[in-house]
Amino acid sequence: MKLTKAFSIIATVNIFALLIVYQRTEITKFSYKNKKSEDSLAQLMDRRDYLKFRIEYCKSLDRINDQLFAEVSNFQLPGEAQIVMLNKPQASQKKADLAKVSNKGTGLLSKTFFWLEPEAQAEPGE
Amino acid sequence: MYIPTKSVRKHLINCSFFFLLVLLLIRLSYIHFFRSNFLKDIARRQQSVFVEVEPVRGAILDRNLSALAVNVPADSLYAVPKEIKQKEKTARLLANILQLDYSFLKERLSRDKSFIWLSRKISPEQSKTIRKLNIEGLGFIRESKRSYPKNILCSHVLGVAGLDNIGLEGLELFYNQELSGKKGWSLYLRDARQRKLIGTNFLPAKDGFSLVLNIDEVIQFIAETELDKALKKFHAKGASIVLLDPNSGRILAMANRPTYNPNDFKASSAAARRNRAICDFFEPGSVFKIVTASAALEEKKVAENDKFFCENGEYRVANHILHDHTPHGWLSFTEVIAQSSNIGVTKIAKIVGAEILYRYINLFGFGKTLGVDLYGEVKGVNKPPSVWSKTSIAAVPIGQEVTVTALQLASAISVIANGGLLMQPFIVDSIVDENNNPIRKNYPQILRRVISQSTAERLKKILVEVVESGTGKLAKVDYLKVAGKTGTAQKVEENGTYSHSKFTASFIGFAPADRPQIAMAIIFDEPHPYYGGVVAAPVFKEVATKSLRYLNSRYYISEVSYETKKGTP
Repeated sequence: MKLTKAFSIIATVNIFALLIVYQRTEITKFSYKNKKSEDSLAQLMDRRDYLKFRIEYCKSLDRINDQLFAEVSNFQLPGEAQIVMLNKPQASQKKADLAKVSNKGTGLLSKTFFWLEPEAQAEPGE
Repeated sequence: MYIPTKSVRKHLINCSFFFLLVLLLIRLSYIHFFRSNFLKDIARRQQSVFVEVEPVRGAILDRNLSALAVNVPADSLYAVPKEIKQKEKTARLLANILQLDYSFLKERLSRDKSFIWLSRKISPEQSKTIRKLNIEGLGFIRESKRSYPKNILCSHVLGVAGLDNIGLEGLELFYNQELSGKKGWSLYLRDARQRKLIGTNFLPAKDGFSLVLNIDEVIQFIAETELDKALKKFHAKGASIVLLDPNSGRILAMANRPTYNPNDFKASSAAARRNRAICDFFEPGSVFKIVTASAALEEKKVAENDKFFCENGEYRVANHILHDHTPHGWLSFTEVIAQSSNIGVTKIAKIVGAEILYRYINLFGFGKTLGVDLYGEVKGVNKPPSVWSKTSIAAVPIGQEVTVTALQLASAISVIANGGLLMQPFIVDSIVDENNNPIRKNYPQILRRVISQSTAERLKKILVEVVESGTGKLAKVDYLKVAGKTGTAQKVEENGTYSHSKFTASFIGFAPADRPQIAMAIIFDEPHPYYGGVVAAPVFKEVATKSLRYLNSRYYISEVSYETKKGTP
């Protein structure tokens, strides 16, 4: 009777130990899976950061200026005769103007050559 | 011979098993009670590892939140020399890709070490190419590299951060603590190949805060472009420009030439990296006459229409003959400043007196640092009257025997623009966390009142006259009143005498004169020709025209946007 009891205790302890080992192997398996997805995430995050940097670099006014004058040799700022000067709009006109501004978006060139904007927004009859 | 019976043998076997069991239990108890800590420690060291977690360095943004300095992920290449079989071939391949010296790489690969850096923070393209080669014994560690997407733009203000992401110059150094963040620790489970598997944040890293500057990328670009054009045109040795909001002291742009690319700062000289606008002092010449004029008007020693005889261009002071660049006869106070007559200003200074003049030089902030948030700001020289020579009364009022920085000149002209207050110039508007919530905000600070509002208004009119009909005509902006003062100063030669071939040309001014939005100081070192009115004044005109057009369009767009938002249900 005593021996049976001893064996059953040993068996229980063994099963418990096996369960612990099983748990450890499962954790390790999960860790490998997790590592794989973490690596992919890190890679994607790196690519995102690098792309963000490239966008900032491409947006650089200095770079745009260099590119524009290096590649487009015939680029010229408009002469006086090509510019339509506008009166300062009234308050009621401002909302409509904003719609135009937002329709135009925040384009790179419009941001860069902001001094062309009043002329670029000019419309006949204004 | 004794032969044990069956039952005795069984008993003996049982006893042996029991004895073994007892031995095992004793061993188990020994391990459990006496060796457990030691063994646990070995297991922990084998299975897990503490890893230092680097915080992400904060970004530097301009006032429209456009990034000027950011972190970009970068791989660092290392080698385990013992594992590399074809060392020469590997060195040759890497030398081509990394643009490094072949012998340098070969020497490193030949070392008897289990880890050696080959190149830190290489570009993604280089990393990709090397990975494709799949060379055994090479490995990568992911790090982050400080990068400046706008290249040379604003480089002197931003400064640089080194390989270990520690600020070395400029704002990167001044705000290093705020930008750096705090290191953290993570506990990782690792496998037999020492690969990190799953980690728990033991002590999370605290990322650095970002800086939002008062610098406006567009105004900075305008300033730098115009400075470059003039530098090329007038073959100057160097140049500086400082652009302030005179009402608040916010620095909208600061640039110097020669300059450097902070992405490749090792390729530049120390001279190119020096922020001349705050680190270099020089004799200002005629731009300093605004101090003499301010003292004279504020102390009610002279009035605008008082007449001064300018000795037809030659005037003896002690043993020194003072000259005007153009001979003048009788000139009013306004004309003396507008025509920049040295003789007229000397006569005004004599009326004002040395002590009062010295007090006003101090009040304007010369001879002391202004406390801008950058390291390396110099005080300049402002000697007290007790050590003046007999000719000093003819030298100091016209900007000789005193030295100033470009930033001090920009602050001084701001005093007249804003109605008489000396504002503390500052670059950083706020320090923000990763969600752009402000952690600390810098507000404009009045250092002191220098002159009264009425005196400032009177001086404005005189400085408008300088541009309208005086020496600063080339700074005149169409349809806009601007105020300013030109300066042309002889440089001092090594033997202590004034040079006849080396000059500093300058222009200080603000626009629009009636409602100033920008104040500027432009300095050229050894230009050809050398007159401030010819070299620096046109730069003021271009920068003022474009900057004001930008600022006003920006204001108009934000105003419309605000009203539309208000109207949106």
